[in-house]
Amino acid sequence: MTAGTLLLRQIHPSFLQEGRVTSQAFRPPPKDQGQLSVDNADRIAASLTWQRFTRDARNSSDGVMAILSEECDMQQVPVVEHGTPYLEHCYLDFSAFKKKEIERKAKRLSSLATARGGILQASSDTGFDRQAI
Amino acid sequence: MIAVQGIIKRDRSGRPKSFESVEHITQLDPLDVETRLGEVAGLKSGWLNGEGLALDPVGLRTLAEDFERFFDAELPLPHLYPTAEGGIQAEWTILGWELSLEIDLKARTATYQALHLASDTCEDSEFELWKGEPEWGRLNDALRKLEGSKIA
Repeated sequence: MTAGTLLLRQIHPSFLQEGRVTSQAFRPPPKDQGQLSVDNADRIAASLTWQRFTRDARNSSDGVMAILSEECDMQQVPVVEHGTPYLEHCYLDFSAFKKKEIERKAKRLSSLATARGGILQASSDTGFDRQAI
Repeated sequence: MIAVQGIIKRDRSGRPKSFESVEHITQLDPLDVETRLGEVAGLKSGWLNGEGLALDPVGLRTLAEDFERFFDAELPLPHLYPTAEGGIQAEWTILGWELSLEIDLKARTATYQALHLASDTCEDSEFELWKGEPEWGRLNDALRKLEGSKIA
């Protein structure tokens, strides 16, 4: 992984309203002990990671958003190349931070991902509307 | 998005079938609070990829009523999202500020955070929304202050 590696985050449909994604999409969910799952875009295409994620019937995703590895470094959020349950799986480790600090970091990461071009939305015809990532 | 008010016919199962007459057609704001809270009311337990609590319908109705009654209509409406804990998170982007208001539907309390991205200025606050006008007034004041802010 390099500073320029894009990290892909699945976006739940309820976390999207009128084209705007909530900052919650970039903070760890309660059960995950401060870990926010992302996929390493150097190793897998956005469309493939979305397809794999949504093959599990419990999961829903409207598409993916991307942040740079170096943007996580700037927020002092470690990126862990986990490699489990699949090779490209990584997580952002928020476990050292208290809730309010996690909220601040999530707002910054969400803003950076939005500035990058927002959500790369899934479409039933093409897999993805844009293939920029 | 529009709201239609009138008299409807129902089928034998009691489901709406057609309009008998239409009294009003109203253009709704895309961020209409009551409509959005009605959407998220349908989420079942486990909605967030196997986790995520269902949202309390009474709490959602109360929140919609409180917004209608106490939220300053001159201020921008928030985007509204469910939270994994069964609450609602309201968010605004105002003049470079990213704002969140995480609302506990049962306790009717809220945690507010406003972060100015360029300057890293951050304001945190708590609101006891169950108290009604005084606390919603504080929230309105906080938003008005940011609408008038000029931090570079």
